[in-house]
Amino acid sequence: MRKIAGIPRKTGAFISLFLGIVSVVEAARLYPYRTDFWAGDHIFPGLIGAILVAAGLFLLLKREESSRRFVLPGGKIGRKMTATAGVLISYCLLIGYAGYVFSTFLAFLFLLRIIGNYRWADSALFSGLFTCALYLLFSEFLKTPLPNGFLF
Amino acid sequence: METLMFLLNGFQEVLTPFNLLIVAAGSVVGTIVGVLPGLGPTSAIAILLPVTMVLDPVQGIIMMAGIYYGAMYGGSTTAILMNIPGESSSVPTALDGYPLARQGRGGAALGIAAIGSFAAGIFGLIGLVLLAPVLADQALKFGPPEYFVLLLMALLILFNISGRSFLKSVIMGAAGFLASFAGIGLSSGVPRFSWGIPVLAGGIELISIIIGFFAITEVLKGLEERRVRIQQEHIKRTFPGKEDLKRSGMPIVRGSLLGFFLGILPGFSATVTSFLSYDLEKRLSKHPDRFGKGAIEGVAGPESANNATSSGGFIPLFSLGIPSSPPLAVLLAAFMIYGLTPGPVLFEQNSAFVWTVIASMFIGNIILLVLNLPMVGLWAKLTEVPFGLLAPAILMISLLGAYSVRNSLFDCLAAVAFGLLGYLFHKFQWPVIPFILCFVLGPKMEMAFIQSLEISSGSWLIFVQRPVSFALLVLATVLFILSSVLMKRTRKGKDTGKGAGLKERQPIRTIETWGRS
Repeated sequence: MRKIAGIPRKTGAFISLFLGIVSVVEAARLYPYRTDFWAGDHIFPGLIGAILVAAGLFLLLKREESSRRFVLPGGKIGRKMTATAGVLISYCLLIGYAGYVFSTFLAFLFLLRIIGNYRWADSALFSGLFTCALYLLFSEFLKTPLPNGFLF
Repeated sequence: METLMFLLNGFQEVLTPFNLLIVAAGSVVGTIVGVLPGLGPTSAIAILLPVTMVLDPVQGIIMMAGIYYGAMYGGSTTAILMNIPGESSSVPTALDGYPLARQGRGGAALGIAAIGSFAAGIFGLIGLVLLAPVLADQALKFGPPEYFVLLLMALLILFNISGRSFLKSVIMGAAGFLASFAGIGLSSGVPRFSWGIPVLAGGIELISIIIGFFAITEVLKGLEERRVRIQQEHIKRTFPGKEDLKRSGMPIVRGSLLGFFLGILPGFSATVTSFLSYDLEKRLSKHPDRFGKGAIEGVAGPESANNATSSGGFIPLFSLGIPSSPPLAVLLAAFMIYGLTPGPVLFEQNSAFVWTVIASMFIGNIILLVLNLPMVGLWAKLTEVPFGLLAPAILMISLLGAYSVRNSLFDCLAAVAFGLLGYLFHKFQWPVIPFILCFVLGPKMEMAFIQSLEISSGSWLIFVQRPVSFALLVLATVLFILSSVLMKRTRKGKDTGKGAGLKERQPIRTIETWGRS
């Protein structure tokens, strides 16, 4: 378990400052397209940018309200969560190349192993069933054109 | 009279076999999802939204509304039988519902919860029928300055009750605005916040945000909490006895009135009203010492208030386009995805649609009561579905759902990214609801702001010079202060609730950023 105190607040403050500056810069770029000084696509990004910068500064200067420490999961749970996120990202990247059937089967297989701790054989069985069920739901019922890859 | 005619037409529309099936399916699916460990009404609507896209808008929204109130009901089942409130608004229900279940009177508690929910739901719907068209009619007279101030008022009050820090809510709201800016500019038609990246020029898809923040984050939270399956108390008889009904009568009436009238106002979430109702019943009781040990009034009042607030929340949603709770914010997003804009013109331009949806809610409430009382045992069994099977299914349905809206893999990746961000936001107590509200309401607010300043030739005084917008500003200040005070009290109440023995290892399944949970 990793204990973190104060860092999320400061990180949040810096991200807020960064986003605010990005917004103000974009507002400046949009300024020539205005219909009036106060009317145009630049005004809201400019205002929101200013609010983000001000709020970020406030947050940075604010005193810590409590000594509460945030705990990020570590150990087995942390690894499980990281692996789950990894499977999801890989799935999004793989499905365009490998197609729905192969990538969905694989993603389910690993998710069932990681989250449910099922044996490989059980995971493969459930994975096959889930893949078929979702194919019926999305492709046949919802008429969603699922990606075809080099395999299926 | 005209309203009654519209409502009757709505009933005529909804009483077709297919529409009735949709209402029943929505209510049942909502109840199932509400009962399942790890899912509340907001997640339920978010996950199932893409699946309903195949339906036409009327049927889609009817189903979504059914899922909403079905899931609310499902949440109270777990609160009573397992001491796990489905939403933070069900915490007071658990305080007396669970002790009743442990005494073998869980069936009676569930029965009273169902009857109270039904009565309050119908009361709220009658209020909706009577008030929403009047409010929408008045709102039609609003110009851009009034509309801007109204949206600003709603956002400020909702920021105030979201999460523990107002400053964090403001930053999250501003980030939501930024996300909504990506795409083509409203005024000039020039791409903005896309930096030459084609997928960003098309804007960020709302469904990716909702699925990420609610479905994927919920699974990650479940993994961290090591959810498995949950044991429950034995149910025995489902129907309450005469004595239970007698004791619950007045609490149901009081809870309904309190929940409905406060529920209309932005800033009074179901959490606040259910705690107020619990507090009220305890104060009025001749035996306040029974509360927390199994007083049926402690179930009847808060459950009624909770449901009356949920129904009352449809009034600002339909007539002003302002959601008053997280599930309604997601429902507002569903309206937008279907190409409908809730607000004053909805009653004018899509009258048949609105009245069909309202009529469907009456039918849905009846279906819930008829189905749920005899099937409580079955719903309780659903809590035994292992998380290890449920979570992968939720994740894959969510990703394919995000993909199905635009057939875009970018939307899938965006959903995963928002899911991971959502988990970090939850962990470090940065509320996500302001982000979503500002993302959804951002374009409307920006347009109203630009139009207002065009009308006034750039003078900001327009917002205080017009009487209605000035009155709204004053109202905003009053409601802001009032909601702050009530939220503080509610927090105290919740702390007491935890002290009274809510399960430690089973956190309240709530979008915890709402209502300072």
